[in-house]
Amino acid sequence: MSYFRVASLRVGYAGQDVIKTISLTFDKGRISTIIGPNGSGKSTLLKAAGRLLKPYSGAILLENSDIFAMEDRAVAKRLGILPQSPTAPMDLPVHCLVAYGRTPHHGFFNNFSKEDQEAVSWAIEATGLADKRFKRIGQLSGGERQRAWIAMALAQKPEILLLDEPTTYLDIHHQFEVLELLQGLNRDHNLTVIMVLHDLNLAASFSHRIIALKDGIMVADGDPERVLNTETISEVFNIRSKVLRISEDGISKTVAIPLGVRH
Amino acid sequence: MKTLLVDPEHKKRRLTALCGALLLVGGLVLSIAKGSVDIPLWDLVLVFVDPDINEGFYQVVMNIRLPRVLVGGLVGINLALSGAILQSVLKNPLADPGIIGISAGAGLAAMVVMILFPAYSALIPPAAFIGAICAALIIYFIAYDGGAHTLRLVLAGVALSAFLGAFMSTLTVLYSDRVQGTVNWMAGALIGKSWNHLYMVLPYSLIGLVGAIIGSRYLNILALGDDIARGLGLPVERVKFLLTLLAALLAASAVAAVGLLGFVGLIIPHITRLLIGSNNRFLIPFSAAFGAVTVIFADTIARTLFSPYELPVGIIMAFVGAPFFLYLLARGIK
Ligand SMILES: Nc1ncnc2c1ncn2[C@@H]1O[C@H](COP(=O)(O)OP(=O)(O)OP(=O)(O)O)[C@@H](O)[C@H]1O
Ligand SMILES: [Mg+2]
Repeated sequence: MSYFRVASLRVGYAGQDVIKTISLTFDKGRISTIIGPNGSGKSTLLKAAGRLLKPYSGAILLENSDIFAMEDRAVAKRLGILPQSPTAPMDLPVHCLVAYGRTPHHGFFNNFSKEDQEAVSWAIEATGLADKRFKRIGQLSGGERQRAWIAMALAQKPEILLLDEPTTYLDIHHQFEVLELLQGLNRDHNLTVIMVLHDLNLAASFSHRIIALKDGIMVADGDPERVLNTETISEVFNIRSKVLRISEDGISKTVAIPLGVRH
Repeated sequence: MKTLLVDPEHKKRRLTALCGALLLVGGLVLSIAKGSVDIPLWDLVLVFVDPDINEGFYQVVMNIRLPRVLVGGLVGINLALSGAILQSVLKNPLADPGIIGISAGAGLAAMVVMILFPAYSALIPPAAFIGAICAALIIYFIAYDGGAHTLRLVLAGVALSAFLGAFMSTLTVLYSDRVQGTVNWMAGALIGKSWNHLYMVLPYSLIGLVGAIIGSRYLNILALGDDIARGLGLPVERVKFLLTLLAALLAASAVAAVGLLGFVGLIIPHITRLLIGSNNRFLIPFSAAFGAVTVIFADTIARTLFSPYELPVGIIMAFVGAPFFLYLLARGIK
């Protein structure tokens, strides 16, 4: 039985296909990253996988159940999604935003349990927002805001977390912090992560698998060492590049250095 | 490091609640005491102690002022809640049952019942509700674009209101014998409201208040955007539909009782938001309270400003509300 499956998915907006039949199988406890140029359909694919956009055909299956046929809250307990640029009321305090992440667990009528409270505190600490918990969203920097949203998604405690460009607005330090946090959750709690990243090198460092999209079609899929090569990068992004494998401090990495636009 | 353990907003909300309660009590007392005959405070107390001490005051308070003030309060609650819900659900700061045409739909339906079945006043609120829903559906299909363009909804609402208003005007001319106090009805007035009107609105206010307080949790999640709300397991379409129905019900019962009283649903949620912030758990009950306070005060002014002439309370609301609307426009709405 496959864990999480995108089966012959065709989806788009207003009857226009954006994703033109893609099938993918995700194993439990792996980090997968979707890359591709602007407008290639990364967010669309993620939204369909996260039950925000109904497929024209095909299905999204969580342990063989169609997530669109499942109960709203039952899905939300297991599958979390953070879309690309979420907005919240400017005067919303950080701790309230994070607490909303508990919604699928405590329901709309029950009050906060101790478990809910702990999950919120943990998510706030984990994203380094402890001293900002009573700040309002409007009082945060772009990066802090991004981390507050990630904290909300973490408080939801899903088994599968879908993230659309979770590192935008973050400086290098916080990019690594967020991705290392996800990596830690993946390692310690077997969290399955499917995310969209624009930075190929971050994608290579933190993912077990990279999926490259172009014009709604999957161009490459596999482990980072295989997908990140000069030909694929050229095909997907239309740039010249050099790909290096480096080893430093016992960490080996695949690094793509863009050289320029291909003419 | 835990620098703060309690939300600093807590104090502010308590203070606002206290002021709101004082204003409400003050407004009730003032509104009952003031009018064509002023009743001194002490005599007002005596009215509730023993009706026989001053028969005249007793009649004025019990049969005229008290029901009128209470109807005003309930209508204020209903309209403020309706506006607060619509602004959140439609993601439009200018949404108000009057502005987007829902009140006009309710008004026309109510007027038809008043003309065709003058004996069945209990039918007026349900008919107004149906009218309000029809207007909401028309607006939804013609002009709702997910909240992307604020003015689109307003323009469609203005057009729809004008269209339905034309029917209402025609009816008032053709059936001038059956529709009394047309001017008052079109502007929204509390003149001559009795206990019957109170009993007519009360059940809707109770349903609406309970519904809005339950709905406030959903409104908070909706404020994070449809995608986030769906991701958190909220059935977004169904919730929005039910909340819109609730807003229509609230507006319709207010219109059924007092006519086309405008701007309460626009102003009150904005001012409340300025005072206590946008958390709907607080915004909803506070808006209800301030809605009641506002209509009660406005009606006191409407009654006493040009005494012995009485203005419809809707005219006072328009004097305040229309500039406020312009201010919201000028403040820069996309
Ligand atoms: N809500 C929408 N309605 C209509 N078309 C849309 C909508 N959202 C996206 N599109 C279109 O679908 C295509 C794919 O968009 P998508 O957001 O999936 O791209 P993306 O790969 O995430 O790009 P980016 O890197 O810029 O985020 C684009 O051509 C876009 O114009
Ligand atoms: Mg995108």
